[in-house]
This record gives sequence, C-alpha cells and structure tokens, in this order.
Amino acid sequence: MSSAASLSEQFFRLVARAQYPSRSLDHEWGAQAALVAGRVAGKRAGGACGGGGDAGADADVLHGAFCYPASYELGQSNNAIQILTASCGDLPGVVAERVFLPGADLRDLMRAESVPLLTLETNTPVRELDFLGITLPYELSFPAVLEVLDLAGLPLRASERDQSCPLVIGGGPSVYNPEPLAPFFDAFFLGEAEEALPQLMASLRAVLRPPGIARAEQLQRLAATSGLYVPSLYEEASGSGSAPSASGQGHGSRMAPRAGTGAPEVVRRAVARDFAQRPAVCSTVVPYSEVVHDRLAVEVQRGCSRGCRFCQAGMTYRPVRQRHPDDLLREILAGLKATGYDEVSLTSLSTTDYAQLPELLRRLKSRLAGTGVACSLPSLRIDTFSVEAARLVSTDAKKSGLTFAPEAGSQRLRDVINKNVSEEQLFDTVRAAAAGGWRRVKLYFMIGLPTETDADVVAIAELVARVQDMLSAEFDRSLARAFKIALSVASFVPKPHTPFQWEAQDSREELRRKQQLLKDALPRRGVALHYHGADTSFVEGVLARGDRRVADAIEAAWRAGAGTDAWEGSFNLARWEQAFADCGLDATEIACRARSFEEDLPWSHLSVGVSPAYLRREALAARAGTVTADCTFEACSVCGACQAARIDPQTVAGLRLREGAGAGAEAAGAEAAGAAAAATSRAGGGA
Amino acid sequence: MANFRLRFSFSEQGRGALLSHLEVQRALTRLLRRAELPFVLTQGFSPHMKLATGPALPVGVASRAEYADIELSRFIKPTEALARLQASAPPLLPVGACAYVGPREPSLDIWLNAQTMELRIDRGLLGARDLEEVRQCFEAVRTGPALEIERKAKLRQYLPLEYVTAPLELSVEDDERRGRSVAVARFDMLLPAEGALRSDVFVAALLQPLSIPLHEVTITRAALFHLERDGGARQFALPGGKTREGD
Repeated sequence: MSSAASLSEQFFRLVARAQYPSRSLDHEWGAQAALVAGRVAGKRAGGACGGGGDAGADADVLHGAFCYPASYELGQSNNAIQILTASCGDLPGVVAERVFLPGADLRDLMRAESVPLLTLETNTPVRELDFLGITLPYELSFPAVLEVLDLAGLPLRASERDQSCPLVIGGGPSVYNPEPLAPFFDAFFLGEAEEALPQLMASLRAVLRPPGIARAEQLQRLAATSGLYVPSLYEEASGSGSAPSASGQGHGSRMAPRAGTGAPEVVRRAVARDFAQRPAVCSTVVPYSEVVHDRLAVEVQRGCSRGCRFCQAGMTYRPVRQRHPDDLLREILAGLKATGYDEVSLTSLSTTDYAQLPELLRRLKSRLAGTGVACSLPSLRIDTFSVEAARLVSTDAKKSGLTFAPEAGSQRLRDVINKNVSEEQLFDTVRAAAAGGWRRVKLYFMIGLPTETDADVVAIAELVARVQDMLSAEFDRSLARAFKIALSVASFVPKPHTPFQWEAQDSREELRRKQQLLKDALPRRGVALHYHGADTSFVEGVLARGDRRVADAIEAAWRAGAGTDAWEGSFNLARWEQAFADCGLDATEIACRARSFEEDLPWSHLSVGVSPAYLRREALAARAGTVTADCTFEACSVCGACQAARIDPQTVAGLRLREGAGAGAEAAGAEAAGAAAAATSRAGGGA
Repeated sequence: MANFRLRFSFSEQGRGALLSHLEVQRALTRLLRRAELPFVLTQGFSPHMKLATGPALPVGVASRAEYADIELSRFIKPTEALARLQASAPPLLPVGACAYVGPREPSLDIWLNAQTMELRIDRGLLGARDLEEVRQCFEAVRTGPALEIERKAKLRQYLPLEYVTAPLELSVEDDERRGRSVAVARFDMLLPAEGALRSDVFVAALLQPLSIPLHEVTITRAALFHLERDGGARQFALPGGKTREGD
C-alpha cells in the first residue's frame, strides 16, 4: 500500500531527527519481521481483491499488536510482550506486532507532522489494527495508556470508539483493579494468556470478522470469553457498606453486570496450567539498542507461594509451577546459541525457591565453562543456600553485589508481613557473602507497613548496625571497612487482592517523617540509603485502590502532562493534586483510609483465585503476628488458588535426575518433556 | 599458541544507518557467538572477545564498507567462516566477505585513514538549481572556515580543507524504485587517528546554503581504505574492497 509506505518513510525521516533512533528500527535478529510482513501483505492483497480461495484466507488474518506503554528499552525487556507476539505467530490466521511509545522528542515530531503511532514491524497505523493489547506494568504507567491511544489517533474513551477502531484490551500485572482505567478500555484480560490465547483470538475473530456488528454488540458477545472483563457491561450496584462519602469515591460499592447483558457476576483470572510444558525461551529477538534486560531471560518457574502479605504478585500468579531442569538446560543452551547473548538470567518471582536450582546451576556452569557466558539470578532468598547459588554462577569478575529483601527491621513486623526470615538467617547470609568474596550487599526494606511503630523503623537501622558489628567481630578489619551495605527503602502501598488490601496507607507526611527517622538512626559509615519518593507512592496508592471515578483524574493528569510519569522522570505531584481536585476526588481518603472487611471493594467482582476468606484470615493473622507457611513446601494454606485453576502446585523437588540428562541441546528432547509432565505434583489445593 | 585473525566486511544500509558505533559493536559480538566461531576471550577482569572495528561511523550515515577483525583460536576455512557469518548476521548488518590477515597487520581503526563518501540528493529538493551550484557550495565549504564539533564534551574546530580532498564527482542517477532522479556527489575524506571532521557535519554545512535539511539526504560511506602519507596508492582492508567501491 503506497499510503502505508509513505507513512513509514515519513516516520523514518522523523526517527532520523530524534534521539535514540535504533529504538524504532525493528529488523532485529530473531524478529518476526518477515512472517509478520508476509501475513500483513497477504491480508492487504486478499482484502484488495475481495477475498475468495487462499487469498480470502489471507484477507481474513486477524491483525493486532501488543503494546508496552513505555519506550522500546523497557518494553522489549518485558517477557509478556515476547510471549504474546511469539504465541500469536504460532496461531494460523493471526498476526501480532509490537508497539512501544516513542521518546518525548519523537512524539513531538510525530504530532507536529501528523504521523500517528505505528506498529514496529510493518509500520501499520495502530488505529487500523483489529486489536491492541496494552500491558499495564505499574499503576503510574496508567497515563501512558492515554498517551498511546492519543498518539494512535484513537478517541480515549471506549464509548467514543466504534467498530472501525481496534478493540483495546488491557492486561498484565496491574490489571487486577482495572476500574480506574475502565472507561478507556473495551476489555481487560485477567491473568496469564498463554493457554487461553487460541480461544481469545477465536473470540475476537468471531465478533470482528462478520461485517456490520456494532461495537456494543461485539463487547456483549466477548463478555462470555473466559478471563475477559468488559467494563462497559458493569455498573455500580448499591453495596452493603457505608454510603458514598465526600471523597467522591463510593464506600462499599460493588460493580455488577448490567441487567440483560449476560455478563458474569465474577470474572476469573486465566492460568497457564500447562506452563511447565511450554517453551521456556519463546523469543530470540536480539535488540540493537541496549535494553534494560539485555540478556536471555528464562522463566524457571511461575508463581510464588511464600505468602508475603503485601505482595500482589505472590497472590496473582498462584500456584507455583516449576519447569523441568532438563528442559531448562536444553532450552538455555539452545537459546544462547540462537541469540548470541553472553548472559542468561534465570527469572521468576523467587528463583532461589526453584527446587532443582543447585543441580541446574552446576550443569549450566559446567556447560558454559570457558565460553564467557555469565548466569544471573535476579533475586535471592535470605539463606546461605542462596549465597552458595550465587557463588556457583559468579566469576571473580562479576561479584558486584548480592541483593536480599528482609523487608522489615524487627522480627515482630517481619511476622506481621509473613516474611519468614530471622535475624540469624540474615547474619548467616551476609557472613556467607563476605566469606565468598562479596564486598557489597543490597537490602530492600519497606516503611509504612501495617502496625508499624517508630521502634520498627529504628529497628532497620539497628539491624544494619548489628550486621556491621558481626562483620567487624568475625572478619579482618580491612574487609569489615570495605564492606558496603546499600539500603533501598520503599514505601508500602496496599494492593488489591492481597491480605493488606483493607489497610490504610501512611500519609506522605508520615512517610517523610519515618524516612528522616531512619536516616538519623543509621550508622554513618559503610551504608548508602536510597528511598522511594513519598509522593509517587501516594499517587500509586490512589491509582491502585481507586474506583472508576479516578479515571477522570487520570485523564486530567495526562492532559496536564503526566503521560510518561512512570518512566521519564517527569513525575510532578502538583499536576496530580490539581487533577484530583478538579475531579472532586479526595485522593488522601482513597489512599490512606482503612477499609472494613464488610466493605465491597472496586475489584470485588474480579477473582484472581485466592479466596476473600483466605485474604481475611491472613489479614487477621497479620494483626495477631502469626505466620503462615509456604504451601509449596509445607501444609496447604487453603488459599483457593489451586481449586480455582484446577491444578496442583507443580514442583520438581525430589525429582531423580539422570546424570548427563539434558546435556546435549538436542539429546534431551522428548524424554525430558515426558519427565516434565511427570514432575512431582503434590496436592496443595485440597481443603 | 598462535591465533588466527579473521577480517570480515559488512555494511550498514537503509535503517542500519541509524545504528550507533556501540550498537554495531554489540551486535557484532552477538553475531560472532551465533556463528559459533572459535573466538578468543581475553583473560582479564571481564572476559571479552578480541574484536576490533574500523573508524566509527556517525549515526545517520550508511556504509557499504565496514570492517572488523576477530581473533580465532582455530583455523576455519574462509568459505565456511563466511557462510556462518552471513547466516548469523542481523538484517541491518549483512556480512560481505572475509579473509585472514597477518597477526602483525596494524589495527583497522588506525590503518584505515580515508574514506569515500557518497551523498544522494533528490533532484526535487534542488528545485531549479543545477549541479554546478552543488559544486560551488562544496568548494565554498571545503575551502571555508573551520567547522565546530563537540567531542568529549569539548567544542573542537576542524578546518575542512585538512580533511576533504578534491575533487568532487557529480552525476545524476534514476532511482527507479521511487521513480525519481537523484543527484549523486562523491568525495574523499581523511580520517586521521587523532580525530577527524565528521562526514555528516561537513555535509550539513554544504547543504545549508541550498536550504536542504540533513535528514532529507542519504549519506553513505562508499569505501574505506588506507592512503599512504604521500597520497599514493589506496590499499583496501580486503581484496574485494576496491570492487565494492563502485557498487
């Protein structure tokens, strides 16, 4: 199509004038450029000749894109975008491209020259697609969604878009309270899309391909698709809680399907039950530009059932599913060969919980010896085993530092949040790190946690001082002096679908007071302190637990320039305060008010699998200071996630491995796949 | 044990012109790993392959003649090495040729001290002006005052006459794909190791009096070669270098 070609040419003339042009190039090694271009060309050719025969089949291609609402460097590092685009490539009759937000200078040039947002691979205008999936990585990225829609030339509100516009579907880690974004999306997909993707694409095709179906009718039909939440079919039903307050946000109002729509009362999260049998390396795209995670990422397991009560991912990715080590070894070696990366990262929410980690690392180390390929672990559990694991993957050159997350300074507060870590374990861990040659550890803490007192905040500083004392007492003077502790202190933000979803968030003033308290109490020597801004945590809290009324404020903040607050360092609280005020919202009440168990929450109609009863039990256990064990290793905590997903936790613990199995990239093959299917599976969900 | 030094050529055309020198180097290391050539790793603090490239190309400038040397621990037949390199090259950096060079050959970035630049301007952009006007602009900038370039956070002055050697070749070609006529200008520039006038800066200066923005034209490094101090014969990094100049 000449118009598409000229638009692409026009775009690249702008790219050449912008900073970081390599973001927009596509044509990376491993990109599906040829496949995508072929299917899109087929669609255009087929469409032009009116279909029929094979050309008709091509014309029928469902053409969409998955968008990460940030720059290429961030988005290309996101595993979900890679999984989704690659999985669509495997589906006949579907083609999905990548879309990222250009940098600020390029966006200005595009607006000035009326060049709309284009897909990466074929430079198709986003507004001409059949569907646009947008990942929601983090609450502060919500305004970036509006930046995407506006740059694409699409009306922001779903109610203003008709069937000529792409279906705009949200998903990702921050989709579990979508109400603040509800007016901007046609639908949200809750959960993991891998297994559900064929059905989802079939549903989209069924409403998009027959001509003449109005958008409202399309949406009503889509509501029957598993995992799909169509917000326009829901309205606020009167709740059992208190009446709407002056905050502008209702107390205890529940979203319920509008009469006659047939939409489900509760929309449930989709789970990739076959996760362990799916490819661990699904994309071999190697970016030209230096992206945030510039390495081969291999997801060794999904889910974490440690049960930290503040952690949303720990609730929304249950149950734990671990891949077979033979499969992993084979795929890592093949992935490194296919990409040419010199680093592989074993990713998951808690990689040191992967049951065969020592065995996997031992084999990897032996296979990668002398190749210059490094292996990294993103997060470490606090125990000496983790240090041993880190020692296994590190070379002397790469002992840059180890990262651990005690989260709270006092044992009492660690019990409240269910962080099952003792001070002795932390000492043992730091001792092992120092003995293993590391001279720097990074420790993550949070302030503003439920039940926290000033003593708990000061306890962080005291804990750090005792770690230093231990180092001075047990190691020689030069080591103790050289050893650096980096403290990263985040502010607690209560998140939906966690045991702390009812808790109050500390005000900005209180967080700042506690930050200063900690700063004053910290040892002067050998410690670097970094904390998250109280202002961003405040807005994050409003967006995390707000209801549909917050949407107006998001739009107002975006209009005032908050489009890329999450990633361009442009955050400005005044802009948000003005937006909240203009929309009649008492943001402090939304963020800082404690909710009662009886109150219906804006996300009560959405289920991530864990039951409200479990969340309440855990909230009460937190108040009582009692801990709950990890159900993957100990007794079932009856959270409900396994029953909801109709699977048990899948671990590879106790697996008897054959020496040399998986040693050849080709050898393991079907045998390993069979073993993975038979991986130890224990009843975790039964009551 | 003696190592083997394999030299290969590659190009950066079309969108590839927008890659930075660092991005190209990173892409080459990954290309070499994919090709599974027996590259040698350094023994230092951070092991890396012994890869050396020629003089950097500014972002926005395309090239038909880039070179890199990689040290190998084993001899691989050049035909096989080339097949592996070509099969592993990313779409924007296709590999052209390869050959072994002696271990004592000087490094590419110092030895390759001159380049032929090619500038393509749509005739439409020139309007009523003829090629002679382009030649006059070229001469005026070439013999004109120093051009300023920021280098390592400092403004430096480069006198074009020291870097741009006459003469200018001018011709007109038909771009059949776009159905347009294009003015093609070719000229040589020196690339002394201590720092050179950037080709895009020179071209921008020459386009200024013609009121043509830099991003509307195509600048390509058509050849990269060694020029003897006395301005004698050109020597190319690979036997095929000279033939590539005219393609």
